[in-house]
Amino acid sequence: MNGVSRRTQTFLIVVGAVMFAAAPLLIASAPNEATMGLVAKILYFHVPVWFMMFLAVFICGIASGVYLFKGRPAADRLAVSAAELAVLFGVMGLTTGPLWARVSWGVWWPWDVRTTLALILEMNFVAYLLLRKYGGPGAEKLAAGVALFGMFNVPFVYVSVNVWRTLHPETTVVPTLPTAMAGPFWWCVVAYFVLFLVMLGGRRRLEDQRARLDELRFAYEEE
Amino acid sequence: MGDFFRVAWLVMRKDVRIESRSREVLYTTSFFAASCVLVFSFAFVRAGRPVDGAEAGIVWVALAYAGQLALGRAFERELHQDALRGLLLAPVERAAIFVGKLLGIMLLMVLVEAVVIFFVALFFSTAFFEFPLLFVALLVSGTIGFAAVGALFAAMLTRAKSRAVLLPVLLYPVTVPVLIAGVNGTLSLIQADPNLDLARFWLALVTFFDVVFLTLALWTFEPLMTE
Amino acid sequence: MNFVLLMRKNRRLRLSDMRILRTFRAMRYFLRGAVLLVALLLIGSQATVIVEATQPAPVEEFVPIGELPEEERLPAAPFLISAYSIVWILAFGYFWMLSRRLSAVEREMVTLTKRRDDATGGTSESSF
Repeated sequence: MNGVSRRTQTFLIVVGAVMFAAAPLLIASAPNEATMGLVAKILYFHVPVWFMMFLAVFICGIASGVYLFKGRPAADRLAVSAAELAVLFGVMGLTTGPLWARVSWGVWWPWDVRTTLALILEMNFVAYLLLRKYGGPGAEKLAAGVALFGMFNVPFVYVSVNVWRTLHPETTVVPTLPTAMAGPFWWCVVAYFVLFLVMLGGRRRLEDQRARLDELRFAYEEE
Repeated sequence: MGDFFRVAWLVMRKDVRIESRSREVLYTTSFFAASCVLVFSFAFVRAGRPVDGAEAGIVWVALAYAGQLALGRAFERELHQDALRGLLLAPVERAAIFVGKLLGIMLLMVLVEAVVIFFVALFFSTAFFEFPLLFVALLVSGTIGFAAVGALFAAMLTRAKSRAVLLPVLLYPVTVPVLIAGVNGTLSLIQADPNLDLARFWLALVTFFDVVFLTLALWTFEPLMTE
Repeated sequence: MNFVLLMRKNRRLRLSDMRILRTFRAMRYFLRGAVLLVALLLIGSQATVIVEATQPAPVEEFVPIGELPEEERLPAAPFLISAYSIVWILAFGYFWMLSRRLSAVEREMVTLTKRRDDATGGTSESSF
């Protein structure tokens, strides 16, 4: 087994474990003011996660469009990486959102416009990944079409769910973050953006290496 | 331009002719839609009366399910003896082929819709045609939107693996706005206190969706269908 | 990095080997960078927790919880902790999965290159 990877993997686990052990201590050290003050901390990473998912969706859509009309394989590799990240960040957002909503609103799913939009986008890009995996050869182009449609669908879903929701005013919309929290909030946004870039770079590298491996295999079989 | 519509008409006529001989897809899809309505009736009827607004939902859900089934079957036909390749090899604009197939599917869906509305009106005594123009316009534009996206996805999945299950998986998230608009538009027309302005808003939304996605479908049909 | 494999039979280092080496080095730097940034992110998030804790409670715009009497409010801590944990598990899990898949691909590339070079008697020039 590759020595570098194993060492780095072990390092990652150790770092993760240490940071994980530290987190509850830091959370517990925060004084218990209002119950709401504590759970609002979820929003520090729930909202940046949503930003990143949205970003991933648009990157995937645009890259898919380029792949479909220009045929550049690099665009396809970027698209699949972005789609995976959209699904990943979507899962993060769709799990932290209900956890926050349960405490704030008493319901797991508030049916507000942003949550529902996120869910529909998530399903769209899970469908993208399913198509790539199970669609057989040539599925990359088909998936590119799905991503493009998903991206163009965003405003329609937003408007329709928004109007649909305002007809049922029992639960109100998600409030904006208090301005006093702006500093730490934007720190988190930047931090998640950096995380997103690192993940995207890593995933693209994987796709590039896979493509090179395919070339190698092909060349090997030719000889 | 005339050529474009002539090709589309020819493709549609071919489909209609094939279908009229056996009527297989029409009958089976209509029956499936009717059984959908039945199943949903059991789910949404309390003490002999439908849950408030359930009729609108039942119509559009039955339509969505039956439509997706019809789409899959309509394109499956093209697999026999490489008919699809023959169609694509023809020296005509590919978008015209797409429009032709779309028209054929729309005709089928409109017929299925008639069956669904008949049964829902029968079971729940719903006054669907109180505002006939708006209602029909909503139905037609909703069908166009659903069929445009569906026809494109069904066409591109024809030669893919697992196409039967992948079509609904891909189709439903993209056609959510159509379903929302259709259900809520219908609801605002059939409710006790009809809201015509809201119905017109939903109609406008679906029409806009149709324009955007039909354009998108025509635009992407060519690159998606190349081997 | 298995230098022994590449250096076997006193073969001189070739362009293909250099490229593989560069790839592995780049991968190492990338992974180190990834670890550093993840650590930054973790520290940053903990910092926000501390920062928020030292500030006075914000004026809440959340109507329902304000209307709820004290007894009916859910304890927020388990939700907050689960939310944090889920995000970290997912992020680390993804990195782990990436690094594993990447090393598998790299391994196969080395094997394939070696096999091909052995088969052609070590005179071919790689083209990728």
